Amino acid sequence: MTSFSSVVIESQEAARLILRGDLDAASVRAADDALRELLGRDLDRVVLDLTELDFIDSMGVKLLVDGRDTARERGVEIALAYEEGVVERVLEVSGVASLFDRQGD
Amino acid sequence: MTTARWTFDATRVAPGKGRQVIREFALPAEPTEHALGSIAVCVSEAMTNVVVHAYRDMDPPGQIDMEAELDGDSLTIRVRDQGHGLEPRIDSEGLGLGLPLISKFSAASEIASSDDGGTEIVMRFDLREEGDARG
Repeated sequence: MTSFSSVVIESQEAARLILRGDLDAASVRAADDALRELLGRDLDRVVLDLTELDFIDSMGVKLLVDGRDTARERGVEIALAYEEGVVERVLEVSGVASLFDRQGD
Repeated sequence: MTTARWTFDATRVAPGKGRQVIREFALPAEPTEHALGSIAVCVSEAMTNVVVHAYRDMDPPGQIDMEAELDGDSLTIRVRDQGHGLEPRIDSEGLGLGLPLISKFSAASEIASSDDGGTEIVMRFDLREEGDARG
């Protein structure tokens, strides 16, 4: 179990939200706050960077789906970045990976 | 055969604690990283299910019992509550993905209701599981 944190790296009209640690029931509210704040800005594109995430479960998956819906409503392009491992497996098995563009593809 | 048992308060930090103790329990058997990932997902989903569903509207929340049995390359985990079980709720926090993920990430799983109204989820894992074996 690793603690959760997030950081935003922003450039002109684009931002990367880096999620670190474990994304589960304990941390999903903090992640949701960070994502909602970011989607409230006037951005064209947001990348949810999961490459430093050690773990994700269905609570985190729901956050991603909700974030995608909110981004669409606001006309923000949203993409995921992730690497091989348990995070990728959860995204693939849950079917959520197919809902997003993957940065780097 | 090695066994262990833990009890957690059914709060939002419980799934993380559950993942941690089961990893420490399994590590001496030298599981693959793939198996450790599968175990973490299933324990988290089973315990989150209890936190979100089993003790809703109960203050303070109840407890989660978890038992593990290590037998060679096989690990069996039981997660049990004494709450409302798996009754559906329209205001669920999740996407209904918990049980499907358990089914995909475990070698076998079974869900049973207990006489006291709670639920027990039994999950079995192959500690030598490699990538692409399941999920």
